[in-house]
Amino acid sequence: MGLISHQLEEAGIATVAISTAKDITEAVRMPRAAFLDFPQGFTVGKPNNMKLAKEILKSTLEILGTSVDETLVDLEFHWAESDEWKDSVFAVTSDGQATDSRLTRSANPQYQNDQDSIEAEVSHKDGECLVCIGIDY
Amino acid sequence: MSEERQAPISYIERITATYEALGYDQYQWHHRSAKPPFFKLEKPLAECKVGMIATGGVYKTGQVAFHYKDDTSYRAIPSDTKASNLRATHFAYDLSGAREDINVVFPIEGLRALNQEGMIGSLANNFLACMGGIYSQRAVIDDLAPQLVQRCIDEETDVVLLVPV
Repeated sequence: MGLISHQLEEAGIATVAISTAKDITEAVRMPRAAFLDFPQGFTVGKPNNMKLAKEILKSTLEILGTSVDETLVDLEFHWAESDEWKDSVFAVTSDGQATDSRLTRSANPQYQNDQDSIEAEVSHKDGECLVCIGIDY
Repeated sequence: MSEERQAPISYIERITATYEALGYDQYQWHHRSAKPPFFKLEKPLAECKVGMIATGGVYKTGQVAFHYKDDTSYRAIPSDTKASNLRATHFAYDLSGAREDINVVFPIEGLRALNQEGMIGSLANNFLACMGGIYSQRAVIDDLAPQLVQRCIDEETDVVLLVPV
């Protein structure tokens, strides 16, 4: 996402990111970012908590009006009472064991459910792909 | 009682150690030494058109889902799309939150709310979703990023919120 942010800024479009991986955001040097100390997969908060999502979004978007140079702001939200959730993230055990929970990297479309596959087939029955680039027809 | 907080996770360090333990080739992390480009916003957010680019593998029903092998395509998702018509698919992150409420990786309802409240001037007609997890910086620099930039220009977007996963 850092590489994308740089090209946008060069094109005259201001960017601001929400990141749950502070070290990666620092390494790629995002122009403006807010760091949320939450697990990966929860970039904008917790499910069904619009109040929290709005607070995260507001704090992040405010950076646009206040920053004059590369900026990384720590947001003051915590995932839980304790930070114990961090212990198991990409952990290697003391005897050198690690697990890979990623899925196989297939080149076929990966639908969330079978119905979505059928709907996509219907949308594309004329062999066009306009719907994928946002043109409903 | 205040719990002691841990430092932010060092993902690069931990993933490097995990790959080492698994005997994998190391991922080539992007480290930038130069200052990043920085475009100074020339008007208040309340007068800006705001877009979004999210990498959580989000698609709208009727669209073709992303695949898991260096997918450099994107999906344009109309900013008035109902959240219940959005899906998430990805090989590398815990999808449980996104599938319970897509807003945790694609905050479409939050952005609409902030637009209605006047913090955001207007929303781009389309928000953009892509896959991320592309194991070639060259593919991002030469293929994916230029497509996204051109689409943001076409959408006349002033500001883009970036939502990586």
